[in-house]
Amino acid sequence: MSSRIAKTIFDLFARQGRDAQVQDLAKQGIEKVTLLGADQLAVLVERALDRALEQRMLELTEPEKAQLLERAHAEFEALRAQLQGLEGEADAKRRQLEELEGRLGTLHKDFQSANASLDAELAAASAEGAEFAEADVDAATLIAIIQNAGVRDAAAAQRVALAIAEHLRAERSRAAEAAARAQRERIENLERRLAKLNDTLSRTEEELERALQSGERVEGVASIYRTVQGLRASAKEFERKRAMLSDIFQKNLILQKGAATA
Amino acid sequence: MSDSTSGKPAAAGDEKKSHGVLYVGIDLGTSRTSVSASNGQRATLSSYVGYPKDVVARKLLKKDVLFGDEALENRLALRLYRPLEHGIIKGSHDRGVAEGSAEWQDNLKAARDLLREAITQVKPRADELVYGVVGAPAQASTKNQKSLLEVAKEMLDSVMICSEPFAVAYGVDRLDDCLVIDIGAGTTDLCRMHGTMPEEGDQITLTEAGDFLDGEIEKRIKAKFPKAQFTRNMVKSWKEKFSNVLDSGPQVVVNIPIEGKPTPCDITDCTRDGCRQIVRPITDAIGRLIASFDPEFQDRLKQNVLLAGGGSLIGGLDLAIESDMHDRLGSGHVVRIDDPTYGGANGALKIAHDMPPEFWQKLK
Ligand SMILES: Nc1ncnc2c1ncn2[C@@H]1O[C@H](COP(=O)(O)OP(=O)(O)OP(=O)(O)O)[C@@H](O)[C@H]1O
Ligand SMILES: [Mg+2]
Repeated sequence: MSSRIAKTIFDLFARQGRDAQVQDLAKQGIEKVTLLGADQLAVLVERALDRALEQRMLELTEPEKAQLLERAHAEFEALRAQLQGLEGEADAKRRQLEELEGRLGTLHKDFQSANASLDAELAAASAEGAEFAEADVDAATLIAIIQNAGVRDAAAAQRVALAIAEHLRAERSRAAEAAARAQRERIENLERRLAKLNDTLSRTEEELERALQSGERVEGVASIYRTVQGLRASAKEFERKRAMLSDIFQKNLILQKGAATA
Repeated sequence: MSDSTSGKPAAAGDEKKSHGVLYVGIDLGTSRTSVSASNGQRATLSSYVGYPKDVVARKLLKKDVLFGDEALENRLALRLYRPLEHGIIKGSHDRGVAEGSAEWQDNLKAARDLLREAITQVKPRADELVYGVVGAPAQASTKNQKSLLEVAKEMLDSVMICSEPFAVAYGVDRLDDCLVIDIGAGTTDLCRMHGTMPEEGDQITLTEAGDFLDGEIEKRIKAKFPKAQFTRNMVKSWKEKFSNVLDSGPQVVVNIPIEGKPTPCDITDCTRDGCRQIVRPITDAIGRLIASFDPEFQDRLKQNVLLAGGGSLIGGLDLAIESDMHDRLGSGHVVRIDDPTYGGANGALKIAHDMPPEFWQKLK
């Protein structure tokens, strides 16, 4: 059936047509009838309709034509607006992607520099620790200094030296502790920043990934084939090729059925 | 990004996919993976897959997985895999790495990612059916073939495996008995084809192949220019650009640093004599495959020798092997297939195209 109109006409005939028994016709003395199928009739009517419509087109008045043209024009404008909207969307998407990529770049740099600062801090921490350990004062040197300053009593000199040494040690360990605390805080801060950056980085990456998937979905390149092909019967050495292909298929059937049940 | 995402368009129904059929032919090699497709796209990448070693490496590389030369360049920051050994997934040997072992699993994942990348590179459309034929080495066992299939099935709507040398021969319409010689990087595979599936005795594998020739050429350049500074990679690229085994081949002069100063060096004899080292082992192997063949068909086989694989691009190699065959086997005719890098992939594509629709349907 060539079209919807034809189908309607066909149905119409099917519904409204009247059946006649051959015997009844014979009784009426009718021996021969010309048969025209409902589908043929439908096609004929459709053709007639087409022709009438064509005629009508020629008969359109100028204002009618203008009206039609205007409608087509309006439709065209609507389509164009729609297209522009789509282009705008694509543009926005592209800008969003660029922006995301920029942010990601900056984040990567931040991350690297934070990482480098952390490494530097850690290196400094161990170096300073070593320095504090080295700087322990030698008691003998202290006694000598006190004696040189006029304290002749050896026992007194020793007592003073011990007291000073004790004081120095206490001061030093306080200072070291403070320094260590400050350092620890800096390191902790850096680590927190790093963790946060890492977090942001991951999120931005995910965002970018999503944007890429939704926005720039790769359309792909269409195959030159619309349907499954298969060896043409006119192909050179058709029989041999067909046998070989069938052999490959059989082997795969065994292989893949086996794989499925294994 | 997750490794479970299939490259296959998400669960599109068949009605949706009735838009078209994309055929792909795939050649999974030890060193190269090549794909040809019926949308005119083709892709080849070296068969390396790398995953960042740790979080920092991942942040710096900005990727979860790297492929081919890019993976190789960043290998220090990566867990690097070359998942295919002689065309089959590493660890799927009956001996060797046990199935289910961590190494086998890792290689399987790498192979899967590699295949997905290769297929992605030929840009299949989401609304098309993708039918593929994968060329597997002739001697791959059933188990090896099953692992290949498992990997390929994720990407393709329907898939078949065929022997690689058959694909090469079918691709150039050589259905008669023939001898396919695939000169790769690690191995040269000679295969006697009669029918679709070669058997045990039909195949000889030589270790004289591309890598071996790089070594031979390197030795000769070192001997001629003891002070020259160069790497194996430089040798390989000179070979790929200039190699020729004929006396009439062009002169080859390259700049090599000698004591820090780039110096023109004539390496014509080094590349020529180096590359010639593969001729004799190949003719020897041809001789063996022919001698053990039905005497009635031996001549036909000699007249039907096909050269394929990247190594067959060495200038004049077809003529050199042919002339050696004349000297030692009485006669011979050698043809280098067009486009040898894609020989396997193109052949597999042709098989995919010719495969009757009902066969594809049954394997879905
Ligand atoms: N133009 C050329 N001239 C000479 N040799 C070349 C040329 N191009 C590539 N090759 C060599 O071909 C080899 C790679 O060939 P191919 O891509 O067929 O390998 P493959 O099939 O992946 O390896 P294998 O068969 O070992 O798995 C390399 O040794 C490369 O140097
Ligand atoms: Mg190969």
